[in-house]
Amino acid sequence: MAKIVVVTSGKGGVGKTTSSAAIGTGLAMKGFKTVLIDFDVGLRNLDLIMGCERRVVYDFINVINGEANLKQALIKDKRFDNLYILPASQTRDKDALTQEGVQKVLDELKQDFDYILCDSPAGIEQGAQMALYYADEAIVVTNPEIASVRDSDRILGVLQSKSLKAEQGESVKEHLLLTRYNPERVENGDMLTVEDVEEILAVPLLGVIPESESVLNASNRGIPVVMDEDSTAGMAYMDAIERFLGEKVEYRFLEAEKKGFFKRVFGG
Amino acid sequence: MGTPFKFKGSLVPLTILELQEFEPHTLATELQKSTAKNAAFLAQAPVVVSLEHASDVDGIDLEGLLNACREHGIRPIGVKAPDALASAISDAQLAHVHLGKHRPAGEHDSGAKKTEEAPESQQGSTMVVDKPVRSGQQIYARDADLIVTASVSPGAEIIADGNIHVYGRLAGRAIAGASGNQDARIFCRALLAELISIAGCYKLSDDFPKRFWGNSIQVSLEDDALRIQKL
Repeated sequence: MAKIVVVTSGKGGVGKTTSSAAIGTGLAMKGFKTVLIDFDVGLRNLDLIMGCERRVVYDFINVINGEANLKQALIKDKRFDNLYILPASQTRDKDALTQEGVQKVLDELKQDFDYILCDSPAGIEQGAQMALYYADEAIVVTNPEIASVRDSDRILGVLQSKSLKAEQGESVKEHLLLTRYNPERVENGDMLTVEDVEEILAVPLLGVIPESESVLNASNRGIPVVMDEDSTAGMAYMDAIERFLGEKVEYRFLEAEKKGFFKRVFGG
Repeated sequence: MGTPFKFKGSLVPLTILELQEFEPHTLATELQKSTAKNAAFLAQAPVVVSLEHASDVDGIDLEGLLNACREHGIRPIGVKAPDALASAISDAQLAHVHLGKHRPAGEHDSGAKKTEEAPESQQGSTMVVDKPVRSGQQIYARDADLIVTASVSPGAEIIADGNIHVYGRLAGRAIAGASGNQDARIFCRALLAELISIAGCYKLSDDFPKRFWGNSIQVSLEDDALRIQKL
């Protein structure tokens, strides 16, 4: 039976879609049959980050409305056999998502997959609530700055009050993923530290993704950043995925790189 | 089919006519002045006549008092008075509002050390919250104390009719004595609150003296002002 995982944040622009793509791809690389669902109806981006935007024929809303079946709408990744994408509709809005419709699609996907990753839209309204309603676990993506942390706090409250698990008296398992972490700026006091964020949110830390140019490059090329094995961000995502799967992995890239002698002399 | 009615707990704004002493003639003249000034405000407004702080309650002419009120457009719906007046109040077909607590004179301002028992309605009832209270969440401990063992985030609101204890960081709003209990207090391990309030008397974080910020403190209400003390 599949596990439903929502990737959410409250605030926009913190790296939900990038993280969904990276974690979904990473899970597939680890051998799990994984499907990524884009819940950001009207602002479809996941297909771009996954590099399959030209292969979108039918979408999530078509399936909900019965205009297409799931097989027609699922896009199989060209790089990994066990990775699929269910794109959002670009021409509709979030009201097109109905609870029954979402449930129907998830129930069908559950039969076939190990992991169902729901890439949530920003905000706490209909779209975001639909994405998190059926979740077993939640990965809350946060940047080390106060507005993002407060919005994550808000969405954590929504998770524990408006999800199906909460209604059944259980709780959604929470994970904190800190993205765009810049150790130099943390040292200068411009950004919150990992400890600050952990203390405020009181959620177990899944991973810390350093700010890295490779993330933007990867997005632009439609290649999830975990596939870039030389980038710190890619490695940090892989660490996070291993922690998600229950392994114990040391945290890396938390401290500013010490400039060595040669770098100081010749520039880094 | 269900019952055609239901009882619902509710808070209705009421005006209290607080009497220090009662002498029918003086009261009539004073009421005349006061109601002329506040005619619109008092017109037919439900009023509870309070004899809580009145001297010589036992010999009081309750009927005369109520008539004086009615003549000036005040509608008494109840009388707050010691139990000795219960039958007189019931004869007048009004509600008897019990005194919340009887404090002997002199103990009123002793502040620091209070040994009185909590009012009956709050005895033994405590609500315990073990999870963080997140931004946007609101928790209300009705007729009870509230204990939060985790943190209260900015943008969260915790409300109790009794005392509030927060063992994590208190960074949201804390409202104790929400239905008027002036003896309610707020205790916290780290004061980072946006607002604290006891029995309607509140302070915003800007008004907290700096030395308390982030510290372990208690807040009490003394002479209608919030008093913050280090623990």
